[in-house]
Amino acid sequence: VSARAKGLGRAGWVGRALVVGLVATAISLAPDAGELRAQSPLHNCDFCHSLHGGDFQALTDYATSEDVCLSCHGDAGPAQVDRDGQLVTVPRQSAIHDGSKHTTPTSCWDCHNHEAEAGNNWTMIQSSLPTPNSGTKTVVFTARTGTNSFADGDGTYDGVCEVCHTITSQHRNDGTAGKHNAATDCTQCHTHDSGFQGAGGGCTGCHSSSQGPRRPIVPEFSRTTHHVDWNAAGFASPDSIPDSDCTTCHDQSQHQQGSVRLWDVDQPGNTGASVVLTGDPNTILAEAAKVEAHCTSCHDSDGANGNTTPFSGGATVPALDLPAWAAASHEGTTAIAGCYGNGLIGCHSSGHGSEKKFILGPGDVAPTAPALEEEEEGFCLRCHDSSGPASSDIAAGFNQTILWAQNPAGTQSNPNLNDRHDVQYDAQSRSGAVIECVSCHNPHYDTPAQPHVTDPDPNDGRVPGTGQVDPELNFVSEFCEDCHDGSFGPNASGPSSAMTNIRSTYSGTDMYKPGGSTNKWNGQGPVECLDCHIPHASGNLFNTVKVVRQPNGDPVPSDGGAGYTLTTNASRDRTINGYDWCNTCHSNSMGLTGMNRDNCFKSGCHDHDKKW
Amino acid sequence: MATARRHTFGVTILAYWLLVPALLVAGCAGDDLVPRTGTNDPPPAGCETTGDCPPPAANPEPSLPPTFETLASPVRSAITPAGRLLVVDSEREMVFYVEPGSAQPLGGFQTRGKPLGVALMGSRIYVGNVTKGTLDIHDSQGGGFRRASNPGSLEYPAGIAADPISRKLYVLDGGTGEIKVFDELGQLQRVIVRRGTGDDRLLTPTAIAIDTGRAELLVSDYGDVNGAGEGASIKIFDYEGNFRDVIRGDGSCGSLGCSGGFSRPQGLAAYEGRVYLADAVLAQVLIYERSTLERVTEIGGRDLGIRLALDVAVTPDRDVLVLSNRTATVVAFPGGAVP
Repeated sequence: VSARAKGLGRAGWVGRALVVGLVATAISLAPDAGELRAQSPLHNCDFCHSLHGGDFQALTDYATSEDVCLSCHGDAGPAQVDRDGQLVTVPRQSAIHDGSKHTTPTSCWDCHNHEAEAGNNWTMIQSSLPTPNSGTKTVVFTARTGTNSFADGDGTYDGVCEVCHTITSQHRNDGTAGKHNAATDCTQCHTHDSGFQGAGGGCTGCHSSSQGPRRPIVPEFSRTTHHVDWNAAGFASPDSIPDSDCTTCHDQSQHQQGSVRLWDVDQPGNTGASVVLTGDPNTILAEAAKVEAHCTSCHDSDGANGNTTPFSGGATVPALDLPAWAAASHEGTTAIAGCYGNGLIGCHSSGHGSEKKFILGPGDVAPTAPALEEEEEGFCLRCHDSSGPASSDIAAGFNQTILWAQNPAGTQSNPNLNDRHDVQYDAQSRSGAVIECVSCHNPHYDTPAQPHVTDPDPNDGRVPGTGQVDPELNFVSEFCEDCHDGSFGPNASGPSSAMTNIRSTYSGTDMYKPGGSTNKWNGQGPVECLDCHIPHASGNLFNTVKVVRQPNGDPVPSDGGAGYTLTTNASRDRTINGYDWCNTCHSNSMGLTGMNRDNCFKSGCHDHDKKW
Repeated sequence: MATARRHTFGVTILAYWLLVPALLVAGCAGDDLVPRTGTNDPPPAGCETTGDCPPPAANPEPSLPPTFETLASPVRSAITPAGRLLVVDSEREMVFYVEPGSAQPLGGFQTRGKPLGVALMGSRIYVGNVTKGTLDIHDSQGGGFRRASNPGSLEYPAGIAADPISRKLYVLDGGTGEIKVFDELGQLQRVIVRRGTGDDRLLTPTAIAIDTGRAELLVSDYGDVNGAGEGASIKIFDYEGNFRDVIRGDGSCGSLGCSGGFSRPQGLAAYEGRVYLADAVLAQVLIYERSTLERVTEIGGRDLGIRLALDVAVTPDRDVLVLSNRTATVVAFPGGAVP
C-alpha cells in the first residue's frame, strides 16, 4: 500500500521562472476589469502551481488539474481563502459540464485555462478552445451579459456557450438553431452547479416548468394529495424536494432520451427491471398498464427495498396485500390499466399529485364542493355506468332523482326514508347519514366472486358470515346486518333519525322463515335481504327491488316484467296484475292464502320492527 | 476524522481506571466517582479537566433506513463501532451508512440542506448543515431529525470532532476560521481557536479530527493559498484550544525543487499514535508519526482509483478507508494502518 506521491516530485525551476515571468507580464498588461481573470491577482499562479512543490507537467493531466480545481471549488473546499490579506469566498462549482449529448466527459480544463490571458477572457475561459467536432474556435468572454457574453446572439459564434454546440436546440456554433435569451447571463438558468443543465440544477429546477413535451411537474406536488410530504419535511415549497425523492421512483439512467423510466424499487440500480414509458399513461391504456409493476414494487410490505418511508416527510407507504390485489377486479385487464390512469383507464393519477384525495385521477380536476362527488361516489360511477368500462351499471340507479317518503305513516314515519344508500351529497345533507362506496367495497381487493369487503363494521366485533343472526342466513344478509344494527363502520354513520335495528329484530326469530322454521320461503330457504332489497339505489322506498323474484330467480308470477314502484308508505302505490308489492308474495301470487291484500305498512301492522 | 476509535477509546477507558484509584488515594473520590459502566447522562460540569467524567456509553451501531441512492459526492465520514462508515454526501444531501467495498449504501437519511461535517456520538449523528449554518442532530437509530443548533451559530461547519468522554463537540467553522465547542444538545458553549496567521490560529481550515487518547484536536489548514505566507499544515491543539504542535506541508526542498509535502490537506484521523491525512490533490493518505511529526509513509494515489481524496478513517481492524470524491467511492486498504 505504499507509494510515493506520483507526478509531483520535482520542479523545473527554469520552466517555472519562465512561466512566472510570462504570467507577470500578462498581468501587468491586462486591463483592470472587475471580473475574475486568468492569472489576475484574484487567482494567482501559486493557487495551483506551487502545490507540493509539484512540477507544471502534473497539471497537464486532466485528473490532476480537475482535482486541483476542486480541492478549492469542490464540495469540501475551504469556505474562504486569504487573497493578499483579503478573505474572499470560494465559489462552489463541483459539477462538470457533461450532459447526455456528450460522447466523452469534459473537465474544468476544457473551458478554463490560463491561455485565456491572451484574450483577456474572464474566469480563465480559454481564448482558443479546441472543440469536440468543430476544430479550434476562438472564444470571447468579457462580459456576463450583452456583447461578448456567454452567447450574445450576434453572427459571430464565439460565445463560450456556443462554440462547441452542434446538436443543441439553441445557440449552435453555426447559427442553425434558436438563439433564446441571447446576450443574457446563461448561468442564471444553466448554472455551473448543475453542470449547466437548464433551470439551475436538480430535478425541481427544470421540472417546475414545461420541458419540451413534458408538462410542469413540481406544481403537481402542491395539489391536495401527493407523494412526498414536503410540508412535513419542513420544506417551504415543493421546489425544495430533493432529487433523492424523485429518484426514488424515477430511473434517470436515460434521462432526456425520450422515455420516462420508473424503477422496480426493490431492485436498486437494476435499470433492466425499470418500467419504460414511451407514451402518455394518462390517456393510453397500454402505457398506464405498465405502471402497475412500479407501483406494486413499493406498495408492498417492504416498501422501497425495505424502506417503508422512502420520501422526505416520513410518510409510511400504504402496503397492499399483493396476492389479493392480483385477484381483484380492478387489477389490470384489457379494459382498465389497474393502478394508473385518468379515472377511466385506471384510478390513480400521477404520483406527483392530484386535486382529489388518494391521488385519484384525473389529477388536475378538483372535486366540486360541497358534494365532492368527483373523489367519492362520482369517481366510481364514472366507470360503473352504462358506458363502462366496468361491466356493472351502478350509476343508473343513483342517477334517478332521490325518492323521499312522501307519506310517512305509522312506524315508517322516518322522514329520512328514501330509495337508496345515502352515498350522494344530496341524500346525506338531508338525512345526515354518511356512507360511501368504500364503506362496503374495497377497490383493491374486491373480486367478481366477492365484490365487497368482508366486514363493513370491524369495530363491532361481529364478523359477517359466522351466524351472528342465524346460521341459515347467507353472508350478504349478515353483511347488511353488520351495519343495520345501529353500529357503523369507519367513516360511516346513521341518519339523524335512527334506522330500524334489523339485527335485533331478526336475531333469534324465524320471521325471515315464511312458513315457519321448517317451511322457509315456501320450503326453499330463508328470505334474505337481497330478496327484497338491492344494495345501491332502486327507485323504490326502502331500496326495495322493483322486480320481485322467486327463490329460483324468476319474477313472481304476478309481475308483468315492468316491476313495481313503491314510492309511498302506502304499499299499494302501484299494483301489478292486482297485487301490490307486499302481497305479490303474500297472496295467491305465490300460492299463499289468507293474506291481507291491504296497505301493509301504512296500516301500522307490518314493518321491520315487527316480526310479522 | 471526527470519530472515536476503538484504540483511543480503549486507552481512555484504561486511563479512567488508572485515574480513579489515584483519586481515591488522594482523597478526592466520593460516591460520585464510583465507576459507572457507561451512561448517557450528562457528565458533571468541568469533568474533563478534573478527570471526573464517567465512561461514555458505547455507541450503538447505526441503523438507518434502506436507500437505493448511491454515492455522488462523498465529502466527510465518521466511523461506526462495527467499522462501517457514515458518509456525508453533499450532492445527494444525505448521510449514508456504508459498508466499504460495496457500491450500494446499507442505508441513509436525508439532511435538511447541504451537509458537510459529521460525527457519531452515543445514539446521535451530528451533521454540519452548510445551507442553514447549523449543527443538526439526527437519531442514529432511524436517522430521524431531532434538533438543530441556533441558526447562525455556524457559517460553514466543515468538520465535527466528538469527544465521548466530555460529550463535547468540536466544530470547525470554516466560515469564521474557528473551532467552536458545542454540548451534546447542540448548544454553542465557546470558541477556543480563532482565525489568523501563525501556528496557533487557523487561516484556511478544512477539516478537524480528535485524538481522544492524547486529548488533542487536529485541524487541516490550506494555509495561504497564494503561497506568500504560511503553507499548508496540520495544526494540533488541546481541548482548550492551546497550540501544541504543527505538521507542516512544506516537504523537503532542494535545488531541484520540493517533494514529500502537501498543500491541500483535507480529512484526518488519529490512530495508535499516528496521524492520517487525506490530501485532495495527491489523492493519497499521508501517515505521520504524532510524536515526531515525521512522515512515515503514504498510501493511495490516482493509479489506485482515488480522485480528490477528502477524508480518511481507520477501522478497528486497521483497515484504512479513503473517501474518493470524484469517483464517488470508499476505497479500502485492508490492513493499511501502520503497525
